[in-house]
Formats: sequence, structure tokens, C-alpha cells
Amino acid sequence: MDKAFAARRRRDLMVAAGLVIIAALLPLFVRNVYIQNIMVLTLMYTALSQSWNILSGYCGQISLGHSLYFGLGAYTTALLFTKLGVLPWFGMLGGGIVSALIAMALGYPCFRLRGHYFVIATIVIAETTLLLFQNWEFAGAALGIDIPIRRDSWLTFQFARSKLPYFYFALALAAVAWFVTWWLEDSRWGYWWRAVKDNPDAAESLGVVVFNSKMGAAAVSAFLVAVGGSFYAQFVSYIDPDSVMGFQFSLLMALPAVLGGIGTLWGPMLGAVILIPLTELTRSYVGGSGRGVDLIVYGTLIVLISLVRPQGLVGLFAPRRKVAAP
Amino acid sequence: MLSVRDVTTAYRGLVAISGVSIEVAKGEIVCVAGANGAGKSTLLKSIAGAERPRGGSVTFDGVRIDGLAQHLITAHGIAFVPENRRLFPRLSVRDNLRLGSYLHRGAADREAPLRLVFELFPRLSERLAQRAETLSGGEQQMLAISRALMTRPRLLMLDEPSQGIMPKLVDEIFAAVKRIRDAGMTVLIVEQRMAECLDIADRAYILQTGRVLMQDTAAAIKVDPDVRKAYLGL
Repeated sequence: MDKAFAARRRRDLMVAAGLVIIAALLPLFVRNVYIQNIMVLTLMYTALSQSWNILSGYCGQISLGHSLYFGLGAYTTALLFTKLGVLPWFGMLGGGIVSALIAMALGYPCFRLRGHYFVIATIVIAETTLLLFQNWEFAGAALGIDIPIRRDSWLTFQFARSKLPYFYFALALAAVAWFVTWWLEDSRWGYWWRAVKDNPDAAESLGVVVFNSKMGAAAVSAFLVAVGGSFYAQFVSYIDPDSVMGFQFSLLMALPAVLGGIGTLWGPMLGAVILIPLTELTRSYVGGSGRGVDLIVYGTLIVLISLVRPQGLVGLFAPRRKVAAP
Repeated sequence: MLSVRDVTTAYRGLVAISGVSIEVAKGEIVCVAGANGAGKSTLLKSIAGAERPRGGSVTFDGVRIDGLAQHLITAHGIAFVPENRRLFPRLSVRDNLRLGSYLHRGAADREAPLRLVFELFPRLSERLAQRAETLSGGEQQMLAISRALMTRPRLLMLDEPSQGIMPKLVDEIFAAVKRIRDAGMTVLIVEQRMAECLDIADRAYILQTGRVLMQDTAAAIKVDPDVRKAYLGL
């Protein structure tokens, strides 16, 4: 529409490409497996938060139940592999599709709710599903599923000896989630979502079908989060309901976006890069005696951000806009 | 082009307009005037589909549109700028304009009305990245009209475009309305500021308590002694 806008979008794309290249080179310098582990998690949460941001940030439907889709992705992949021998790559796709369908099925009643009522519904549904999985014998109930260890291979996406394949996959996932967001931002759907978030009544009068827009956002968001869940199952190679469907995942998807800037392109990444290493490091250094110190860190950050910069950190990096002459 | 016949609209049993008929021909600027509560806004809402008429018919280019959903009426080529403007306050000016254009599929189709918009309201082109809520009242009205133009309407309906706007910008907006007509569109405008509105209009209707009191060319209405006394304060 105008040159400044097109230029900004091109610049965003170039910065992202640059960051991917830098990130891809990082393992050359970081040999410490523990730090590599943190890098994998940071990239994974970047991807998850970016996906969460599509439904909750752009479309404004705050979900605190996205652990559901994360868990569904993990379980679909693990079950297909252990019960039917289906390779995790197809499991990922399957998990994504299952999650997207379930997101739409749940959206059908829930998108009639607005504001807090919607948020509460998402929490309740995720918690209920967690209980179901804890009692579902076929899926291992509370004991969960051990993914049998085979030889290291890209085919089965298992690597016992090195973190690097996981690192590069997580990087690719984060890049894809970012790119999808970037692309959607300037698409018909992106505009519809922002309109739905800002003023649903006005949106309706312009021919935006509010309900369908929310459904679309939920499907894309759930799909990407489920792929993240599938990845996580392979990464830890053992899953149980609490370790892939617990409420903490819903929080850890929301917090980076809130910290970095909700409904912005760069917010989730910025938030994840700050938040995830911080929690992992406090957990291991303060660890033992202080299980829960990481939660204190979250709490402090959230209080600080809501007091000082409720719009998120991302604006700090934006170039100062010139004031137009009167 | 637009023909409204015997339209009656009521809010919870309270009749706002009853048996109103108006005609708008292609290329005209038609002004609907009247005191507060005369039913002017209700008339526009009934045409735009924001209110469902209880009786009568609305025909646009030979197609009956009464009873259709609001966005389908927009798709037929009628754009409506309501009194409260219904902008997206936290979205940028650019996003607001874009949202008007998504009725059309091709990118070229969507961008086409922009030239006219920037020609009419150059100050909008300087404020593309600004949030709509940071604009002045007059600029917001310009944006609302521009967003309506982005839907590429054949008929543009404006409800009290001068409301809450400083006088200098009111003139600018009325001048823009004239140029919108010159660009090939038809305009139906509701106004309380009758004098200015009659200056640019071809024909006018005067509503009183939900009925058409008078209809004539704008020039004739302007010199009508009763109108001058009752509405123009002369």
C-alpha cells in the first residue's frame, strides 16, 4: 500500500534470515551440552509462543489451554510410533491435523464466549483432557509412554548422542512459525484477525465473518503447537500426561509473547530468548532447595512488565518515528 | 438507482420511520434533512441492513436488498458510514483502509481506490502508520469515508459527517463529497447542518417525526419560506 510499509516488511524478513544464520552457526562455538539443551528449549518455546500468538495475540482470543494441543501432538506421534510403527514425521503431521480439528471442534461452542469466559473455558478443557489422559489405559495412563530407543537416525528422528539434530529442527520450527506469522500478517486473514480483536461489530459490518476468522486462527495456531509437541516427545523420548499436557506449558507459551509484546511479529521470540534461559538457569543453579524459584522469576517479570511496559518489550527496538510536520 | 418504498422501521415496537419513500438517481447527491429524532439515521440504517425494516421494500439497481445481511448489502455496492464511524481504534490508518478493501479479490482491484482517497484527503497519506484513535475527529471522519470508498461502492451513504468536527474540516469534507460524486459515485447524505448540505446537494428530502414532509430540488428547498424559518433559522 505504501513504500514505508513494504520496506519494513522486507527489512523484517532480512533480519529474520540473518538471525537464522547466526543461530545456525551458534553450535560451532557452544559445545557445552547443557547450554545446547537450553538453546533447543529456547527455540522450541519461540516456535510455540509464536504459534500461540496467532490466536491469542493477533486474533485476541486469549487461550490458557494450549498445553492441550502440545500434548495432543506429543501423544499422537508417540502412540502412532509405539503402537503402529508410524514414523514420527508422519506422526507430526497427524498430530498437527488432529489438533487443528479438535481446536475447531472446541472453538465451535467456545468462540461464542467473550473475554474472561473464553479464557476460563480454555483452561477447563485442557485440565479435563489432562485428567482423561491420566486415566486412559491404552495411552499408558499416568505412567505415560516410553518411546523405544533405536539407532540414531533422521528416519526415526532419534539422536541419543548429540543434541545438534534437535537444535536444527527446533530452529527450523521457530523459523517456520515466524515466517507463517510474517506471511499472515499482511494477508486477508491477518487483517481480519486484527479487526476481530479490535472491534468485532465493525468487522462484521465490513463483511468479516468473525466466527470463521477465529476458527481459522485456532486451527493454524493448534497445528503449529502440536508439531512442537511432537518434537518435544522425540526430544525427551518419554512422555506422560503431566510432562506434556500440564498447565505450565500453557503458561510458557503465553509468557514470552506477553513479555516481548503480544500480537507483534517479534514479541514471542524476544520474550522467549529472555525468559527461557533465565528460568532454566535459575532452576539449575538455585535448584534443589528452591523448586519454584523460576516461578518467582516469572512473577516478578510479569509484575514489572505490566507496571512499566504493558505493551511488551518489542517497542524498545523500533526506530523512533519521525514526527510529521504539521 | 436506489428506490425506497413505504419503508417502516421500529425499535421494540417504537416506530422510528413509517411509510418513507425516497428515490436516488445515479450521479446525484441527495440530502436527507430534519430535526433530531426525525428518523434520518434509521432510514440509512434500514437501507444498509443495520436495521431490518418491518415493512416496505428497498431496491438497488433493480435488486431487492431489504432483509439482506449488512455485509451482503456492502457487496452489492452500497457503502455506509455510520454516525459513530465504527473505525478500528487500535489499528493503524493503513490497516483500517485495508480492511475496507478485502471485499475484492485481486490486489490491483483493492489498491485502485487509494489514489482517489489520497487525492481527497492528503493528510491521511501522511498518517498511514498512526493508530486511528490518535487522529482528530475530522481525520477520523475522513478515514471512515475513505474506508467506505475502499469497498468501491456505487452508492455512498453518510450519516452526519459533520458531527463533532471543527468548521474548517467540515468544509473540506463537504468539498470531498462533491468530488466523490464527480468521480462517478452517488451520494446519499444525512445532515443537521442543512445550509451547507443543500449547497452541494442536487435534491433533498425533509423528514419530520418519521415521515417525509417535503421533497424537492435543493435549490427550491433552500428558498422555501417555511424551511428557511424552521430549519435554517433565517
